[in-house]
Amino acid sequence: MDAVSYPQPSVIDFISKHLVPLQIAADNKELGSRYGAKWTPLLLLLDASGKEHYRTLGFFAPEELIPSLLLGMAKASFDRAERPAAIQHCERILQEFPKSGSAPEAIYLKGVAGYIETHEVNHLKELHKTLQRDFPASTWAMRASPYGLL
Amino acid sequence: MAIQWLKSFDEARTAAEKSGKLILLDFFNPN
Repeated sequence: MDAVSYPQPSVIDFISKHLVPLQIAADNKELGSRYGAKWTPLLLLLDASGKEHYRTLGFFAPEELIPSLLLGMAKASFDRAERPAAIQHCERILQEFPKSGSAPEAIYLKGVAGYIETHEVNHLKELHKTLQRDFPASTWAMRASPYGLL
Repeated sequence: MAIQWLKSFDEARTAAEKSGKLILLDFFNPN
């Protein structure tokens, strides 16, 4: 990550604008143990209280790292019931990184957040339809399959 | 230009508190 993804200008810009970057050795006694750091690279998104909202394990290429971090930001917003913000992060993934590995989960999360926000079942039907059309082999299409019965 | 990584968890928490941003914690291999 230090050699390939972090030096990319788009990654530097994104992280500097949207996140508080913190690097800690995985063998750090307190934090390594607290967050179960067993292998690297391991990235976590935490809120100011230290609560974990998202983690990724393994290398991410620059073009996958930003959508992955956006997905983590969406999940943190969703966890805190800030659903409009979660939807915005998901929409950014789908507009700017529509073919990324984070896109199927963004479709799912956006639809679920929309449903909770409005109680409109169309959000669930739509996420199912979109996943079946664009990512039929993804596990998110499978997870959404019950919504095809609505 | 490079990412300005903090090295202290407390410092990161304070920055997150003030800015409303999430902390990106990167555990790296020290070896």
